[in-house]
Amino acid sequence: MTKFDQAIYVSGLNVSFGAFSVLKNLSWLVNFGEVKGVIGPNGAGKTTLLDALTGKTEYQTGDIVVRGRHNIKDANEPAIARLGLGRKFQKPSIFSGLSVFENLEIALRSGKAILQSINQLSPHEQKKINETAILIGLSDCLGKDAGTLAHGQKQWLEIGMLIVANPAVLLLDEPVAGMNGEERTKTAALIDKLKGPEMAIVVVEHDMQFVETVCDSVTVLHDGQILVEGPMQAVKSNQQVIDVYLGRDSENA
Amino acid sequence: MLRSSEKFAVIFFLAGSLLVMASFMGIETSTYLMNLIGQIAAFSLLALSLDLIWGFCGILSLGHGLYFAIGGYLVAMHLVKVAFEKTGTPPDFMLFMGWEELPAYYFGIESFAYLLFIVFVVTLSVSLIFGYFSFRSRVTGVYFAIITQALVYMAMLFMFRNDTGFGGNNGMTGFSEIFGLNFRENKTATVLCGISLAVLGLSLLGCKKLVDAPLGRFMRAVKEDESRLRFLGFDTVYVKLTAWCISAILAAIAGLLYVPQVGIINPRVLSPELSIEIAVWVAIGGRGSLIGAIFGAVVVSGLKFILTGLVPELWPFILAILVVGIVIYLPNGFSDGVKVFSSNARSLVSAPHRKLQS
Amino acid sequence: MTKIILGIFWLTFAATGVAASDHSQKMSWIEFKNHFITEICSSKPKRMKAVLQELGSFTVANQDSKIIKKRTQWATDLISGIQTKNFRCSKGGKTYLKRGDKFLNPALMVEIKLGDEKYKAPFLHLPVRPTLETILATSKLINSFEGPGSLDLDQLALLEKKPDFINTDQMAYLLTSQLSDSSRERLVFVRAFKMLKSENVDEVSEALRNLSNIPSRKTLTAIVKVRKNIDPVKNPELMKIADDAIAEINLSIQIGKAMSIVYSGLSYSSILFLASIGLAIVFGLMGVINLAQGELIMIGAYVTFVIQECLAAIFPSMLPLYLLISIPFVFLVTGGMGALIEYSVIRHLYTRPLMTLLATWGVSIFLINMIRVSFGTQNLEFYVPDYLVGGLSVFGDFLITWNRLATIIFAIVILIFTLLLVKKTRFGMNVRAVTENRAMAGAIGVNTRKVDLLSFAVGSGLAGLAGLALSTIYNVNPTMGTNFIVDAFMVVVLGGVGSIWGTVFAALLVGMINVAVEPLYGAVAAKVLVMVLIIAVIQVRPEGIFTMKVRK
Repeated sequence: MTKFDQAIYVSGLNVSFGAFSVLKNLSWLVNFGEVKGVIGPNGAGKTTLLDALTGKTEYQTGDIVVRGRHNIKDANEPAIARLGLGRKFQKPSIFSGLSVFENLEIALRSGKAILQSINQLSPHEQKKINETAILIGLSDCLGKDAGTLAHGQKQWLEIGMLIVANPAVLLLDEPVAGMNGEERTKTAALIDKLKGPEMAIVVVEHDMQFVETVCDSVTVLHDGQILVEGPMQAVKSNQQVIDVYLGRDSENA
Repeated sequence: MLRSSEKFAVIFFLAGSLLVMASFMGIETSTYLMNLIGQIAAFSLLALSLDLIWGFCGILSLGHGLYFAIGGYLVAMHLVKVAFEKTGTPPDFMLFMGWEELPAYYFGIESFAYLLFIVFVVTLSVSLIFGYFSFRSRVTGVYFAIITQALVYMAMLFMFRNDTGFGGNNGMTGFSEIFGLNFRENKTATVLCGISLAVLGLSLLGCKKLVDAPLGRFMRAVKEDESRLRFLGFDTVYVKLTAWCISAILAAIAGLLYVPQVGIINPRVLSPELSIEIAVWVAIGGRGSLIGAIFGAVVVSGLKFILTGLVPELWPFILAILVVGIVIYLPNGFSDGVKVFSSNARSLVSAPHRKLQS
Repeated sequence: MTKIILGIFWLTFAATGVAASDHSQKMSWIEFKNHFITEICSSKPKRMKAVLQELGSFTVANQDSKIIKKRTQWATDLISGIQTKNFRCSKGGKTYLKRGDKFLNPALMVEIKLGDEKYKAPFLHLPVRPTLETILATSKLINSFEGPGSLDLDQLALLEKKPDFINTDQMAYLLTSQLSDSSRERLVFVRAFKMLKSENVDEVSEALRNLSNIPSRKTLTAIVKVRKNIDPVKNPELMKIADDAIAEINLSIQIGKAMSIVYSGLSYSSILFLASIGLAIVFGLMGVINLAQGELIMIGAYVTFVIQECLAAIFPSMLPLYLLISIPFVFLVTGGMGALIEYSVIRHLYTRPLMTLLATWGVSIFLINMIRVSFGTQNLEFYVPDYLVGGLSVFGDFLITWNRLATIIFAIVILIFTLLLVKKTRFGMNVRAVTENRAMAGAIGVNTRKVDLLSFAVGSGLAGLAGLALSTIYNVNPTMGTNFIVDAFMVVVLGGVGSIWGTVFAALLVGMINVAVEPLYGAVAAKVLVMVLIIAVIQVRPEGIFTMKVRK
């Protein structure tokens, strides 16, 4: 493997808010072609990790290298996104007042230079939007206001907005939260379809079954550090993981 | 509001052109009425400029009076210079300071083309600098609103000074003619009113094209969810900055049209109250609806003209109740009201997603 | 020892060349008293002035302290009599001093019967009066001084006002007594002012050295005047001393000026703090800025005014305490108004913070006009209680004025109160919880509605107290709120959302900049500076200086 197979390489990452340390000397690797699950109890630092990756949160020390060559230390959110990191948020984050088509159009144009984004869409771009709409199952709703979509459809639209811009890495924060069984299956199928040698996908989820279905390997975060890493089967039987989750459960009970 | 903005734009433009033609054919009109319509047209343009940035981009400025004043003060300088060239004596406010000549920065402003150029340059620089630093550091919402208010307040304090060459407390007045038309002539009011209407029509049309263009979609996307746009790889600073500068220039043009019609400009155009009033017009007329903003400006400033004459003591109370009532009960101003009472009511009902965010 | 010192002063006195001293040395005390009375009856200003000075010298010419007491007593009685017109002369040279309903012989102070002559009080020409007052004050000082300690401060202050008319002998005598340090210092300065006019170079230079320790504008003017008369060729040393003194005083005045800028900056900051703490808390809590905050300040001042008027009408004796009495009323009225605004307007607009700006603006013009209609537009006149008048002179022109000091102390008390409220009470805990995470706080059973309502009320009440605090310092009229609101916004933006210490710091910063820059470059420059500062700060810390970076 060369370093160009590395979609995301994190080394020695520290993030803290005031005196409270959220990520502690974290090192982590995601390769292209991989679907990586990130699990862990609340407060383990999952969302903070995504925040650090996408430039939402500043990190104190450590390095994050994207696609084997881009260190994103001082880059802002748009610059990081243009490196090919697309992020879906925990709460569906779409432009409710715009139509589905306009949502996808904006996503398509976003990664480009300002001047290019003022032109009319080229036929090629039109085609790209339509294909994406079919992929996420919203080709019938292109003219609808995005705000009127069902919750699951909003999640898919958000994923669609990421893939229309040809990302290298997809970061999905709780992609099936609030979805019913059928919608989960559809989402899993969508992720399977997206999977490819040019793409790395990171899924942060609480739903273990979903993670087991879609992910090739899983990282368990606990208390800002990596507890275990490996295929879901192995992780499930790891005593430490069981302790962490059971301990959590008994607290909740 | 029921008809499209384009139709209104054409109507305004045609009405304006007709007035200009009529005046040159020697048709007499009421100067008072022409002045009134012309001033309201200038206010409407001002409201339009704020709606562009607030209604479509979600950025509330409580300091748009600043750009209005830039246009206003520069055109006043132009008129003062023209009068000075004719008479050879500086205006009273300069004689009062003991100045025999106009200050150096009046150089060249007697040329109308130069005036337009300088209005453009000054407005653009101020809006660019302020906008860039604010948007870059992601100042938004209420923060941005109160900073703009502080800025306009600052400008007002500056203009209250007597040694600036802009008339200080009493303002600039004593204009004699514009485009060779004497202000005493009946024709002048008609021409100015016609031009204001025509410019309003053109601006409305331009704004409509703008908000329908891809840039307009980005503006709405910024309003809806700016951080989403940023995480898609789009630097929202530049969309906001573009919209901000266009809006500022429209406001400056409004000032440029307004001042010759009232014949005076003083620092009170920079008072935070006027700037908030612009926002009130837009809120009452309906944010995010271009024609709604114009409607709001017409209704509120029209009411103000009438009621400050009839019941001057009561007007502030009426305005206060109007503002509070509409803001609470009609989140989108009169455009909601119209929707509720028209057959289009379903568009309001069928939009449960409408987040009532401002 | 005393004798020697006195002797030296005596000589000094003689050297100044007061011709009258010849007389006094020849005459006995009783002869002098008659001489004095005759001279006063002459009503001639020059003669009166001279004889008053002679009297001054005579009171301390004998070293026996009992005699000095007696003589100063006599001087005090007689001069007071002259002032009150109880001392009168007839054309025939007869005189009396009226005390109670008795008529006394002024020289002997024994009762006499009056003939039917006409008596007239000697006319006091304007130039005579300062001498009369000064000799009287000094005599009183000597007479009332009982031993080690301070001098009568009122009399001392009189001398300080008119140092040119003092009697050098009396001064010299006073300086030999066991005075407290502060009294001695003040006396030395008074004498130095007089010595400055002396012809004697040594005296002038001593005076200059003494005076350079009291940095005030008055001293500076006096020294500058003297310096003009110094011949640089004849007295180069004196010139240098004068220049040094001027330089030293100038420096001190500058320091004093800086101190008073800091002081008035502190008091303005205090007002700003009171005005903006409510804004900052409410903004942190609900993301709402209340544009009517300035009007709540104004209402606070008007409530104070109403309480003052009520007290004046009902309990005039309580009037001096009206500021204290007003505190609960102001807090309740403006707090109640805040609650009303929250309940009737803001409550509907939580999801639309920008619309709250417009709605609260509507409220603000309503309040302004309501007050305008009921009270008129003129500035209100506030009674300033005695305990807030004047101040303590500290250094140079720097005066700790009581009213500003009261404001500063008041703000500190409110700061402590707010800190306790937010950190120690259940309500404060709820406020912090809702500020941190509204949904979560609601979920664990915090009544967020109640928290909102109460915090808005408290914030408004604090704004009202700002109005109370500024009522004796700034103009109070219906539109006064506008003057404070923009600065208060800047404080909120600079200090960061919902941070009390941030508000304190930002209020200090904005207040200081305003007060320090305004007199030099005008109000605009001060505002520009604050604005530039804000824009610079938000480039680095968009959430304000003091807000901790937290995960949102």
